[in-house]
Amino acid sequence: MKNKNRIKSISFLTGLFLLLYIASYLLIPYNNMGDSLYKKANGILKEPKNTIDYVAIGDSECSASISPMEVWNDYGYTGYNCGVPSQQLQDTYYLLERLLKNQHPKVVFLETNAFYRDFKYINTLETSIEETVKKIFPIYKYHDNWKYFHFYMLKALGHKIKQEQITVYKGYQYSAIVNPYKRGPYVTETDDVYVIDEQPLLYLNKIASLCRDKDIQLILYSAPSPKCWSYAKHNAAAAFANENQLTYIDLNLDIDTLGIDWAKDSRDDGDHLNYFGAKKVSDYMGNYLSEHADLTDHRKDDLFAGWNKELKNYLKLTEQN
Amino acid sequence: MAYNSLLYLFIFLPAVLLAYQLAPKNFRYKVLLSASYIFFLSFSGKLLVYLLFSTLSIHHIGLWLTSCKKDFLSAAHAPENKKAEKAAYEAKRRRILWFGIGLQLSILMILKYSGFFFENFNLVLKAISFPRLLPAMKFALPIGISFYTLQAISYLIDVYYEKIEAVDNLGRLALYLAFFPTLLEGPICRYSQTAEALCQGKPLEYKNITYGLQRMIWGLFKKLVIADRLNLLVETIFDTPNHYGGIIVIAGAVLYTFQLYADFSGCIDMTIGTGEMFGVTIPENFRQPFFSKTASEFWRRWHITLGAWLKDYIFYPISLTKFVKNLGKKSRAKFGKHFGQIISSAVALFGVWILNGLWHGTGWNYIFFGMYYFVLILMGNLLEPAVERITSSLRIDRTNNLYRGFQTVKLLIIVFTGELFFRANNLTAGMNMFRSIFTGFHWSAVTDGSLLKLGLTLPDFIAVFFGFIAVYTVGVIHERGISIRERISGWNVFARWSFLYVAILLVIVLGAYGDGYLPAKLIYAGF
Repeated sequence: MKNKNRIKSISFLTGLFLLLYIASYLLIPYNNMGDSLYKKANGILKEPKNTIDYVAIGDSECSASISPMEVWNDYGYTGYNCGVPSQQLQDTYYLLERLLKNQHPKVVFLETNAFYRDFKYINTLETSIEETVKKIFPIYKYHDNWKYFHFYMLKALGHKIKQEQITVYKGYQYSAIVNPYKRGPYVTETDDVYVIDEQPLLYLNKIASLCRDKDIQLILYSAPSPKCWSYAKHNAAAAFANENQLTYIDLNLDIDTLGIDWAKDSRDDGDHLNYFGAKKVSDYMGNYLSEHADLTDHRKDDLFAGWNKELKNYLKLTEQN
Repeated sequence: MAYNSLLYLFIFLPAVLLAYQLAPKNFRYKVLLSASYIFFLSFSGKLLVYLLFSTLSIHHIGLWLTSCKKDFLSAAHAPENKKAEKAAYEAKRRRILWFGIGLQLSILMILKYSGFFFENFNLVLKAISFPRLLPAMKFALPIGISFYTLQAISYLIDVYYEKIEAVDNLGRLALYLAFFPTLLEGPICRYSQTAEALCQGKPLEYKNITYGLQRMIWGLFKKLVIADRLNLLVETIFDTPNHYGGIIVIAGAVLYTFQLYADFSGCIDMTIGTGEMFGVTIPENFRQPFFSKTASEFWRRWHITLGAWLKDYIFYPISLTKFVKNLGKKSRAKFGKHFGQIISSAVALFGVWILNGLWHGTGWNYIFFGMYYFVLILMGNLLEPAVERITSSLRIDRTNNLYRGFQTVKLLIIVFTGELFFRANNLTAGMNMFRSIFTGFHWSAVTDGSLLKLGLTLPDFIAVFFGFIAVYTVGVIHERGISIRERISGWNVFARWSFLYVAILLVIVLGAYGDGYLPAKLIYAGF
């Protein structure tokens, strides 16, 4: 390549980097939400520092099964559901790592369905590159905020405008659709053990280690799901819990105690719970926390008045159904 | 490591370009081959063994065909035996060719189709009250198997017909089969089209790199701004087909068609752009298909390399068989020239379209898709004289804009309907969705906001609409034979760079990727 072309290429790239850097600042949001699958999960990043007692994390089985507002209503514990549909464990790890910079929950509930979602080393490498690019050029992360772009944001460069936070019911994925599961009992005991693949296992260990280092109680749980759950998967999660001295709550083995009615409590033929099923699971988990974790009831604490305000909206939404 | 991933765009591709440029000329094709195998491994790991097997087998069989010919030519033939010996020699070569093709097809059949055939065979057994006999089998498919198998077969046939010489250098043949930009979604290249440029080891050129990058940016625009954004809506409709009907299903079929086009042609743009950087001209796979007037013209402009492959290696060989020739002769004698030709070409067309359908996947909906076009194209050919007579008797000018507009609308309806079945989860779902267009049709779906509850918001629709306008405008310009990149290269540096900066920013800002979007797969990589 001739020198002239070299200079042209370098100049073009320099201009591009500058442009991306400037454009990044136009799209960095003030409420950190964005209309996205991560909208709910990322909401935790804007919660006031160290105000969350417990976190639920995992894929859609998680986001559809625990409603923190139910737990708040009954027990006054502050929680956040950081479940993201189709999440791989590496993403779970990165999200957990990010949220733990601002929060110090006593308990993390990790839903197990993502254990069995394989991904390869190459996916890990891709994620690492993406995380790096997001740090260098925030436009890559926040590009979708063009939907909410206003020209006053230009004026706001340098001093943040406070925007009203969007209500996300602390990450819970609300759905009142009823689409029953009709294929009868699905728990058939076996000694088979599902093999958790190399990369998910690697990140599972990293999550366990992260919680250990931060002195957080990691609890594995499996949400009721005839479609996704199997006894072999139960055995795999139980073996991991056993090896790492973790508690494992498999709600699929406790359907009767929970009172799950598959004619009413699933939104999609036994894949995910709907609101009615999630209410039962949330009651169960709230009760578990009251019995096994040393959490404080914040309902009468003025610092948490916002939770009661959000509860009113939540009850309005759920009582309509 | 899809072509639109950061890993590919900012790590893998620059590293390969650098290694290629630094390598000595004779070593450069080895750099490309190594990169191609790394790329393959990143998707399919140990399934590389299948690709290696295909490579080794066609290499050996190609040389076998050549040595067979050399043996025949060098041997002394007594005049009285020459005819018989030549017939024996030709039969031997044919057997070798069929053996080679059989090897390639058997891998594809076992890995891709055995599950489908066994499942259906079991259904038949069940229907006649037999116990299930065949095990349900499912194999992991190596990436690009549907593409590189066709390339391997074309290589063998071209060697057989002496269009090309069998290549002695295994590495060069391996690179032709595995060149990484073409691995995921093709296009299906012929050995004569790309092999020479791949192995020439030409140094990188500034113009090639800038042109290649521009083509890649355009591909990324189509893929990220249009295809991946539409994916949100298309998945909602097609994954829960029972929830929708009428206009929503029509919107699903229309938008899926545009998603497929933007996805596939966008990927091909990235493929061609990558090839261009290395000085390799990869054949075009699309030529403004939606500007076609008939279904057969559409297929000459859509997935061009598959159509050309089927024409050269299925249509013509079937047309030239004794059976079809005799059928044509008899039909012409009995039904006249036009119908006679139609009847004989129907046999070859049937072969083409059943294979076209099956090539795309192993569901009855794909077979239906192939048969749908078979019937439509056959009917088009059959009725053409009648249409000609009617339009001329009614004094309708078939070249005027109104008639052309009518043809375009007719074609679009045909294409959208075909894609509805193509995308449906299965044939039954496709039939139900098609029926629901009529049974669940309510105009209110347009005004009551139903379209905005399918995963796309108003800004999403605006972004997609902007994308359509861009693609349409570029299509019109290309249809006029104007090269946009040549035009841009004539601009002054300020205008040129501003244009490119805006293009890159549009891809980054309007692209549907990252947080909030499930990674959208390259659609044709799944075939």
